[in-house]
Amino acid sequence: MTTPTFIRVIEVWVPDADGSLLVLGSAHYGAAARFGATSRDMCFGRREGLPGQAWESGRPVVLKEFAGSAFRRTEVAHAEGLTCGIAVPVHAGQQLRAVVLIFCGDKPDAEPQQAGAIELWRNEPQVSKDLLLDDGYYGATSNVFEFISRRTAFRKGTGLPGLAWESGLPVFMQDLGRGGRFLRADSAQKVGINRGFAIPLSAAGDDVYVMAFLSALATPIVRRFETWLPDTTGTRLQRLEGFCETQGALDHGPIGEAVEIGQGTLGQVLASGVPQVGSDAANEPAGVGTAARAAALTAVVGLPVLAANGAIAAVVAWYF
Amino acid sequence: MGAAAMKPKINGRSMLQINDVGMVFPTKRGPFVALRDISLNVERGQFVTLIGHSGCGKSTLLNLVSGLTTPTSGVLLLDDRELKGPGPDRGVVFQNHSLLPWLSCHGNVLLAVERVFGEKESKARLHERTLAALELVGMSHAVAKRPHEISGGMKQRVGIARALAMEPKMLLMDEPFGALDALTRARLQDELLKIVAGTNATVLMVTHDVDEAVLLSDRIVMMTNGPAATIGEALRVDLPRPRDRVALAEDRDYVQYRKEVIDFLYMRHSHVERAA
Repeated sequence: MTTPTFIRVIEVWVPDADGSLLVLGSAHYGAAARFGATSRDMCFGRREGLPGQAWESGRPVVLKEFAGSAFRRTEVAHAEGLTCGIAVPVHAGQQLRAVVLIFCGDKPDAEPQQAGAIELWRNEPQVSKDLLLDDGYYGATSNVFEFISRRTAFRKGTGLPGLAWESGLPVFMQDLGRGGRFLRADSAQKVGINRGFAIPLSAAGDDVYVMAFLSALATPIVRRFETWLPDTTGTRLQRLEGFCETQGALDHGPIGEAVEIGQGTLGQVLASGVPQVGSDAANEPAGVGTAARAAALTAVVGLPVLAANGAIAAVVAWYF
Repeated sequence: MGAAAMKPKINGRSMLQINDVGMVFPTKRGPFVALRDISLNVERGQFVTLIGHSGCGKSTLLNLVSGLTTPTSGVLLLDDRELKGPGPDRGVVFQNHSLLPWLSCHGNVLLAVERVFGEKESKARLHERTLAALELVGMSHAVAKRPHEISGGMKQRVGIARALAMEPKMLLMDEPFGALDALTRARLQDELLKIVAGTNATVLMVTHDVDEAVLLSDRIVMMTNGPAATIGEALRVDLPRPRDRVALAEDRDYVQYRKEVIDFLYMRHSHVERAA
């Protein structure tokens, strides 16, 4: 039996040919097959549904209550135990390239309850220098960890989200409960959160957004994640670091594991700047497929981290 | 309460605005960057503490707000007016009581009162103000005593009375209880809580003491280590007032706040060791 993950479904919604609708580009549904079956033929206009809301607002949206909202798949989402949806628009400047939907929630009758958290941090430069919690989904950890997060303000370069803000790159921290650079270590330890991963997000306006993923042993956010950096020519990705639930911490890996532009899911993300889901991780080219087979991983999600000028600063790989 | 509560009030600008302030001291070995990129707003009626390890520039920052030193970059505004030196709109309480030894408690407070109100008020009114300030800190019984005749805690009360008697817009306190024994410190902290509640004072206080910070503050601003120290994190303390230290000792939220501040300080300390 595979370890249940905190993130259960990922969808990538992309603009259609004339840019008037968002259509499903690729997705990972895992065990939520009915949700997938309902979603495949859907499309969303601006302001429609969760993807359309993120498109309209130009910023990430955390939706913790489907009923009564603009969400259009409430019934089937509840049937699959999905209770939270997070929409992340991917912008290159003002241009929308995609909206990534991340769904979390306990499978019906699942045991144990999901531990972990996804936090959206925001800085409004016109208002202050603080990075404040905009919203978050805390699964079963809510009371203890959320309490401190909602009262904490980070400055650039401080704490997990502050470091991602400063570097403009994904930041990974292990052993959060042992202190180190993570500033909410005690609260993290109490709820079993032991790993943190933060990604700076692109948004249409001046506001800064960082999404932090806090992972517990019982329910890792994903089964494996990696950060890949483009080389100086922007035609090749080399793994920087990562973490695998079966293999532990990952370093930069052998040079042979580099991914050429256009090659496999990650190479296509580098080429297009558009997030992608590869549903057959084991057959990905280069070392990606080899590693996926070794760790019995099924799907890979590639997410671009874009610099202010729209260039790809990094590609994040999530495996299920 | 959400993140919005940490933002400056929308019905007006913050009372104290510290914008991109830096402080560099010239030394024989070249410029020493004490503070960098300091931006902080303090709202009217708010109690804000600055906490961090020794040498992180907490007192330097307080001195900038008091006007005793001038920043090498950036600007400080109090009610939208740039701070360019000390003034009666900011009452300062130092760790050392700084009382004049040849004057009585009354005389020490009266000196400050005369400086602020002397030209426009009668002597009788100045005397009233002085007595009221001493009464506020529970020192009515010792108005005629000189500093060497009273305890350290009492001296600090007089120092607070002197600062409050000027009716400053803001009270600046630099480790005011740092030199006192634990019991006296606790008593004065409790009294400061009452005074702040009664006067709705706006306070910026430097402290090393985690419990003191959590007990007194609406917001705890945690500073990174120096040199080139800056603000690392701020924690909003939502504990209801009035606060009772005995009840809070077992309060789950209080313990949580306390641990977060300790985490920050511990993390910073270990960071120094790694860097060394």
